[in-house]
Amino acid sequence: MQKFLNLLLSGTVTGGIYAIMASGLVLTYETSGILNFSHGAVAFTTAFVYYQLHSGQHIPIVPALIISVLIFAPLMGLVLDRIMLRRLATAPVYARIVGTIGLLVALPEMALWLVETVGDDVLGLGLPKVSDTNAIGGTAPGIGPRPPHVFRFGWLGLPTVRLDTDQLAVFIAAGIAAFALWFVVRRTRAGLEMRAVVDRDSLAALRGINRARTSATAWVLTMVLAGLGGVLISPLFQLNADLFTLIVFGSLFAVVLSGLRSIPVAFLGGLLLGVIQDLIAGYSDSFLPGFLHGLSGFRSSIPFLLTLLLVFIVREPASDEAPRPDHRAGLPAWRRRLPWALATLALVAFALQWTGIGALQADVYEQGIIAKGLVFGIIFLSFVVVTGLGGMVSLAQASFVVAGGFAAGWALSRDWGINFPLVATHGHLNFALAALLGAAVGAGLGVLVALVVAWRRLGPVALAIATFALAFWVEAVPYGTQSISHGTTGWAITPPVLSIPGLNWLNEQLVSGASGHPDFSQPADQVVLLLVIFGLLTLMIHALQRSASGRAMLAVRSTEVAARTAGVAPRKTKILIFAVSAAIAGFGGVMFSMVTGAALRTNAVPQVGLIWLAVAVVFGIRRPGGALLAGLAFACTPQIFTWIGHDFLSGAFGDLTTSSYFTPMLFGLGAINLAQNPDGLLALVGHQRLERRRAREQRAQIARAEEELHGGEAPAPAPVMVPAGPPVGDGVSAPPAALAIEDLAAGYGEVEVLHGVNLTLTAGTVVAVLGANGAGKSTLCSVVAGLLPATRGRVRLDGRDVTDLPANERVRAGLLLVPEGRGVFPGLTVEENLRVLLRGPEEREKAYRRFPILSERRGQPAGLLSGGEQQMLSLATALAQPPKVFIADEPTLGLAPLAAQEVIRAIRELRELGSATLLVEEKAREVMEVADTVAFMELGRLAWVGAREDVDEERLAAAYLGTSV
Amino acid sequence: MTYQQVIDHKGEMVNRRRWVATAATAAVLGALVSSGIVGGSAGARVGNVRGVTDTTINVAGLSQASQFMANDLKTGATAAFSGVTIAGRHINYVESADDNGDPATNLSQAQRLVQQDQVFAVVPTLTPVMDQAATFFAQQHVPFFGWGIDHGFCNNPYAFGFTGCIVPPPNIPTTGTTWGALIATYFKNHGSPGGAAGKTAAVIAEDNDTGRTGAIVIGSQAKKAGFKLVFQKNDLPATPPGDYSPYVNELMTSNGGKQPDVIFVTVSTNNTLNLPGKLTQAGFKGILTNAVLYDPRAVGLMKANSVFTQFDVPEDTSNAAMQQIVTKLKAAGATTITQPMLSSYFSADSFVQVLKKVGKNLTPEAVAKAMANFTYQIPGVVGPTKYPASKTQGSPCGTLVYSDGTAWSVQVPYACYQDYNYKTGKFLKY
Repeated sequence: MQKFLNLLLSGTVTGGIYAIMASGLVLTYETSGILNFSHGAVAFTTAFVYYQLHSGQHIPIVPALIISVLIFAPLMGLVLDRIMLRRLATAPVYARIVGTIGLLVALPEMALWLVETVGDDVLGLGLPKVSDTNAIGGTAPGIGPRPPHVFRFGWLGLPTVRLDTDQLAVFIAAGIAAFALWFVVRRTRAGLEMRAVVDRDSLAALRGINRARTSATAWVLTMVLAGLGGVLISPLFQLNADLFTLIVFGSLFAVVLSGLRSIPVAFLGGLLLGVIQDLIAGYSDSFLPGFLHGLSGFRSSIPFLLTLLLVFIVREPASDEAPRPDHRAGLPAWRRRLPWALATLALVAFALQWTGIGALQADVYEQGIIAKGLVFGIIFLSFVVVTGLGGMVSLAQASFVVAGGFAAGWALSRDWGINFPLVATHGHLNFALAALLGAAVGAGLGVLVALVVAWRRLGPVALAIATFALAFWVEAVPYGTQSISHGTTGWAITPPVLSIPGLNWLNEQLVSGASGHPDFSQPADQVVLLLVIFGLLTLMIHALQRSASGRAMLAVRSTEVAARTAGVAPRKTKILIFAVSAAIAGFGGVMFSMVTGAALRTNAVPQVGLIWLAVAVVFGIRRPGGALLAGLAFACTPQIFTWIGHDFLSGAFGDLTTSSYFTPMLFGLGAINLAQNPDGLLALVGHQRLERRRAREQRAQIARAEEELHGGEAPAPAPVMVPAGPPVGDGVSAPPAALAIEDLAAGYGEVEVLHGVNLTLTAGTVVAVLGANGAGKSTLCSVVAGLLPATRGRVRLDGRDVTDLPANERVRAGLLLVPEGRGVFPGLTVEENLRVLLRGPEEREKAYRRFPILSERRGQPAGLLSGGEQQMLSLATALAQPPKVFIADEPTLGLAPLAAQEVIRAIRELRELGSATLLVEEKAREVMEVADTVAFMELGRLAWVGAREDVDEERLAAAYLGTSV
Repeated sequence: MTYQQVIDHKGEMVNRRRWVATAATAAVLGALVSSGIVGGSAGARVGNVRGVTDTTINVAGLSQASQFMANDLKTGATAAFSGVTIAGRHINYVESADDNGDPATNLSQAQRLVQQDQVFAVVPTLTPVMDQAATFFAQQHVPFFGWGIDHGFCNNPYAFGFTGCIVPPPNIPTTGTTWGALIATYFKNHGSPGGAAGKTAAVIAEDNDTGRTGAIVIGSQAKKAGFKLVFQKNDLPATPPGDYSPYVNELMTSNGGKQPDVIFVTVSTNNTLNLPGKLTQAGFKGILTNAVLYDPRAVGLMKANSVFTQFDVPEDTSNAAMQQIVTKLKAAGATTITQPMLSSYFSADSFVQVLKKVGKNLTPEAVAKAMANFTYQIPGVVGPTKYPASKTQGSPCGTLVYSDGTAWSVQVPYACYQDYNYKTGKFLKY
């Protein structure tokens, strides 16, 4: 019992670390939709700043803590929000993941590069180096006394429990931080706005929430939390970015447990994880079955195993994302291929020493680097398949690479006891078969993952977490087993040598100084082999893209539901994509082992997998060419910078580029910038060209269309009757209209939807806009509310030009839009929904008095209300605080007749309260009861505007059918 | 074209591409399949000897710089090379390359040093991740001299470890009694004439494969030295846990509820920085020993710890040979003398001694031949390291040093013990 209590108490303290990290992760996810992989990197960077201030500059604890955690970390949050995080929030899921992975790589490297390389090595400032602390000198400073004071708990009946001040600081700070966080997110205005943005981004703007400010607040909070965590845990561990990141990844268990939503649950989950770990450490001898107990790495990897199991229980909705347009669409095939062909030719000429000119041909070492680059290119092809084509983020590719190498290594080192041509020679398996076995084992693992993914229909974030946890667990347990990994030596892989008459001749022609037959231990021969393999895999991927499965995958990505109804089986397709990708990775692993001489678990640890993904994204993950470039860049860049540092920069300045921090920093920064672009660097140029080409085509098309329609004359504007306002007294200038829409044009991309709309609304009147589906009614609402920019014309509110104001500021100017499909935040409670716009309790009471049913459901999430109740909720805000202009987009759509009546009654009330109302409807019947003025919309123009009395049956029918009268 | 024609046309295109891909794949696979494995070919060189002129011999160092800093490497090597001329040639230390502790980087740095920088030999190598590089060096005939903390030093004709092959792969189960014997000697000198007899020992290692082997080997050493082994586990996470309580508690009670007399902490640097301090905090009174953290900068952290080193230490002021090395290192610019610096010195010095044996006709092959049968020793400081026995054995010698929190001192002076097979228990000839 004593032991149990001991472990319970000490486990809770360890858990404090997980708790503080997990709370931070949940906060960012809840407020920005980003699972922040860089949380540990932020923690490290802040702790590093604290270390420099406190240990380096001898600044006392409190000011050093304030500067690092309360000034540096928030500033970093603001800057990062400004340059990347705000954009990422609306980017595809894989871009969000890759963006923060870029940050994870770049931040610590940048801090270390700036301080150690620039500050110490180049400028000689004598700043303390992290390696001084870590390798030998002891631990980093915490906020407690040095050496830490130790507390004993004999008075609690626990004489063997000892906690020092550093541990207690973590525990107490974690508790305070979690409470503060929960308070901010659940109980403050800023927190409400953050949650509203996450819940329904577009509606948040329509409810006056400033998205940019909300995002900045969230990130500042997160950074402070991560920074505090970093400073607190650094004395318990070393000041080491990898360790910090590992701890954060360990806390994913608590994050998943909270369903990525609840900070208190995440906090408790963190504590629980600490306790579980300590209990396992203390009792594993007695309860773990023998085979598990003997498995090295099993106990340490418990957090990942638990995360893995939990991911399959917690659901995250799958999202639909259509891939971005391809900038090379429409180019003839030869135009697309020629640059690649030329570049490959140049590479081959350089690598195989064809030119005979010293500087233009590779030496043996450079050939080796190119071979490695090609291997990475092959591995990166697996990202092209799973992420570029499949739209899924797999963080377990590194595990497939290692698995492939192990399988081939095992097969090659075994004596199969047979001697059969093409299969085995003197018991040794043929190399090609072993390589295929590697691919097959990779694919097998991939299929296992995919089966689970497809079975549980995991969303993209859950998939990323699951594959990542899997990668860590596989690395720790199976790959840590002697019989699989063959110890730290790994499986030696001897490159094959061929001797085939025709091929020998070809080899001699291709490779300068060849030994007469292909010998794949020679870098030049490796280059030829790997290029051929890369080419074959490229052909395979192209075939896959064009095949039924490839098209099915695109369909599944665009919308899974629709794809399913069209007879596409998303599960089967996803499994196929995963298997192909894992097979390529496994094969790449065999090639990697061949080039380096051994299949080792250290060939690809899970963290390296993250860097690979970042590099692949920098150069584009949509096409094989990007993978090739990324591979070559990954292998060659360090060499190029070593060369620059040695030959071009004199003395200490050479360290600037030869520093081991430099290249990873560049790749990280690249990934941050290019995360959103599936074509990476290549697209920066390509997309501009695409835009120009499209603009040209569009102009030509418009000219052609107008030629056909009008024989070359410009179209005449549609006649518009402006409805009469209220009578105006003599000599008094008319008050400005509540809403004036003047010659408004807008569209989506290249398609113009509104072609010059004019409409005026006066206070206390209702204007109904009727029209067929696709006439442009919702577009009109969006442009007026500020969700969609106008390409021409003005919008005036009470005489004030608001055309250039963002949606949230138009709300403040007095405009309220209830968008199509209910204007509520489904994840917020009824009370919180009202609170977004109705800040005073008396206004909310007013709303409850008007709709008593809402009062009963105060604490329920709005998403659980019936359609009618939801519409009441969205109208309640307007009724309690009548806006100058109220716009309702199809408010009765899908409602029962009684509920629809309720809506109409509310609109009538609004009119009486003095609001100018724009009511957009497809159905005319109910609307005709309240409208003062009716406008018919047709193909993006108002075809007819007039008083309700002047509307006749014929016109109504025409409005339904969308034909001109 | 009608819709159907488009479909047909596309289908045909797809089919044709598929055919091309299949044919190409088949061709290459066929080619690969029809091969047998002939084995790797050695790089034969023609003409001048790589990295050697009439007046110079170029060498470079290779290390995991986070553990063995580049500057320490350079200082140690320069101290051993300065003023040395062998057959009219002096040794030129080109650079210290860093492998980041990653095997693939290690190999690529090794290739760069040999293929681009054209060094004659790699001296010193201080890294635990050089298996592939060792194979590469053997293929390319590149002698390498260093601290044998990698399997690559074992059974490699081009490897010379100044203390031999000290971490043999599992198929060569050799080890020395040194560490355990040093502690036993300490007990003998401090009131227990029986040495280890009647004393209890605990061994803790990390929760991974290396840790498992480590626990077995060190445990066997302790038993061989005469200790009663009461605890032998590899359960400490390699990623340092935030709280060591469970491990501290199990160690503190491992001797039937009481403390053992000695705890062998056989964990990586990260954990060695933390665990001993926690044990002291918990009131551990016995001998706390590790083999990692003998370093002037760690003297405070290692308070009350005994550290096993494989060679004599600068604190041994009575040893003239050691003090001569200290003088040389200081002349080369050393302010504090570290273990990596000494390792670098011994690597470079053993290289110089082998070169002296080779003489004028310097080729890599001649070096390999000379070191195949060579004994390296600085009496009372390091060695004897006797090749060829050292191809599979480490030199069973060492020193036990102690930190009182402010300074290191010699606890048990440098001495040599015995090698044995930890599977059979048989002593080995050395």
